[in-house]
Amino acid sequence: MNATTTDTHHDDHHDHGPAPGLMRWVTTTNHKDIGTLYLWFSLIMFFIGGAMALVIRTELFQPGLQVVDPQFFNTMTTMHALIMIFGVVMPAFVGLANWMLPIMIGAPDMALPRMNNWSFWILPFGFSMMLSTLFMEGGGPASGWTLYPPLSLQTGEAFPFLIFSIHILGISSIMGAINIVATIQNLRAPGMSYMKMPLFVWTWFITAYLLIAVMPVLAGAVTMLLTDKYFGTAFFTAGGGGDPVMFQHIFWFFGHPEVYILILPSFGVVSEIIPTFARKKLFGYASMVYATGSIAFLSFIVWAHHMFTVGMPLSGELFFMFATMLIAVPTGVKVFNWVATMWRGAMTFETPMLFALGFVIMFTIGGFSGVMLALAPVDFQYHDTYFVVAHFHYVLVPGSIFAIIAAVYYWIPKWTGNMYDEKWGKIHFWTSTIFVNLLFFPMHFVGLAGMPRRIPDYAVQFADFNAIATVGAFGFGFAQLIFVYVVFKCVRGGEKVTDQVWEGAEGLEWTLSSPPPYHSFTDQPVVK
Amino acid sequence: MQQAPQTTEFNIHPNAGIPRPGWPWLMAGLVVIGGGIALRLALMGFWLVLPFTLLELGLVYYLVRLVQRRGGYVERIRIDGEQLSIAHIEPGKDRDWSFPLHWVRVELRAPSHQWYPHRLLLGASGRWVEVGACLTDAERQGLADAVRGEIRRLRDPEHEHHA
Repeated sequence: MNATTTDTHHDDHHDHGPAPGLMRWVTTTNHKDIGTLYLWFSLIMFFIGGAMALVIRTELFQPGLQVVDPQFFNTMTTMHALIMIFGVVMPAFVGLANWMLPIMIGAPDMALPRMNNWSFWILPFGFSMMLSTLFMEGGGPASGWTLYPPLSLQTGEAFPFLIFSIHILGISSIMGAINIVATIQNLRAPGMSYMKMPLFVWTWFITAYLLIAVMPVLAGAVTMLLTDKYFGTAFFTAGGGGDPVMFQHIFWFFGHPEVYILILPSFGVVSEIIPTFARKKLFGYASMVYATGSIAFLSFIVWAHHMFTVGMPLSGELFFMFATMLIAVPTGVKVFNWVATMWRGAMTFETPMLFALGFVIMFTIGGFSGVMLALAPVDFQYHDTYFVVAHFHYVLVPGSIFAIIAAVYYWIPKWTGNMYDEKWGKIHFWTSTIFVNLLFFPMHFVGLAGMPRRIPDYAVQFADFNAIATVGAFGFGFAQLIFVYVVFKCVRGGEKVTDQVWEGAEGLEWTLSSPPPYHSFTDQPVVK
Repeated sequence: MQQAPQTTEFNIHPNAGIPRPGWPWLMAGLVVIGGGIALRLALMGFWLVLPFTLLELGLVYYLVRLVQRRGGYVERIRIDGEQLSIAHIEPGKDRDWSFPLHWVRVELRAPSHQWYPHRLLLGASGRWVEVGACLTDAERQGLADAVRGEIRRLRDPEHEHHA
């Protein structure tokens, strides 16, 4: 960009396109390359985390202990959660943001491309470190992803590696968030005012600020655990005058906004897809933006609903109960707007739309069970049961994961220039939907009946529902192989698509060629 | 009779730039929220959140400044009867060049790959300065035409006047 003195014989010999071979991916600062890296990484981690889920479900297929020992079972529940949250959902959304944000706002690339490269490439090191703990003396971390002390302080040699890997993942997230904020605030095309930004950009914008606000809290909390274990401090050690319950407060002060970090970009994805396939403008755009902002704000004042049972003043319970229930209002606005967008639309049901509709329906189921859990007196009954497991899995699997899959089906023709296999896409949707409900719906029943979570054995009256859930788990897991097949097939070739791809698609990203040029928007577009 | 103005000036600056008045407020918001949380926890004895918050806020500030600096420059092309001068105005990185007007050439150089934009180069005697890198191709073309026109007019004001 800067004016430079140049010699006539030295003309434009830098960076014409991707570097050849493997080094393209190591040294790339191109937002599309980095987005692709994030998405592949996320897919690989999805199968690693999914394999751990299948270990859990295999053990729970029947009552009794038959496949793994309880310590390893707890390690699996812990690692499964950490991988799915930090290794799958977050990187997948960062990958989608990398691919789509610049071309949605008319920017040539992310604002800080070198940092973008770094924020991706530290991830594999962080997760290698985390996974290496499985082979360490004392086994991997087994205290749950929440790392509550004093249990987490009993972790063996894995502990410092776990903490350091969480720091690496946090650094990656913070760098990604700052990059997204700088890109959105600095590189929008002329005319792209805030209230013209696509919803996916808006939701990521707010998510990035949430990340910036809460990541230091997680970093501080896990570092205090580390110093408690190795440096003789007693932040959370009751024996030294510390307060283990305070860890729960601090953790969930990070953790609840983190939940919204996992779901807000999903709202953005669905808000892009539904108008396209309903062939109507999004109903209530401004209210969608304000609802997203309200959800983000409320996420800071509801953390203690995760820990109603630790014992807190009645006024505290009431405050957190009502504040939590308040979240249903902006969330309801969103669901209403999606339904209103579809109302009398010229709807078609291609695979991205199917996944988006699946999201709306099943996320709402997860939302309703969330309202039930928000009721403090009722939560005393449900707390730490499979009802909670059913709730957050409904929000995260047919919620976030379905949104990510919908986004991939929606944008992969733009990324590759090839249409995916629609027949197999639909088979993927229906198998996933059937099995995901088979997997998680029975958990409501066993949870309400009192089956505790994070336990490898259970009373025989829960056997039937658990057997059904395990069948659902394997079915859902294998259904994702269809997704891999469809993605590979699409990347390798297929029917060529137009620039617009979808008849009802609107936005700057659809004005670029399919696939977009390696350097998009070298000419800045103007938004009218 | 020559009536043309003696000096013409073109000012070019990137249209995307984080607005300076907005950023102090944004940073203040982040400091109040992030710092407030960390300070409250520190006062309760959980002080280890504070250094991470300070590190992060420092990183945000540094990167915001970096992005601002990248977008906060002006290129000024000034043409008078004697010379064409170019000033790159950026805090701490001011540079300028000047060329005798009668030797100046304006080149809109085609890219070697189609996805790259054209480059607008002004110079003379083997020294070239690229300007308008932040413009769109159409704007760059327009700037090249305008600069060529001004050079022609100021080199030969009478011819221009008659024309």
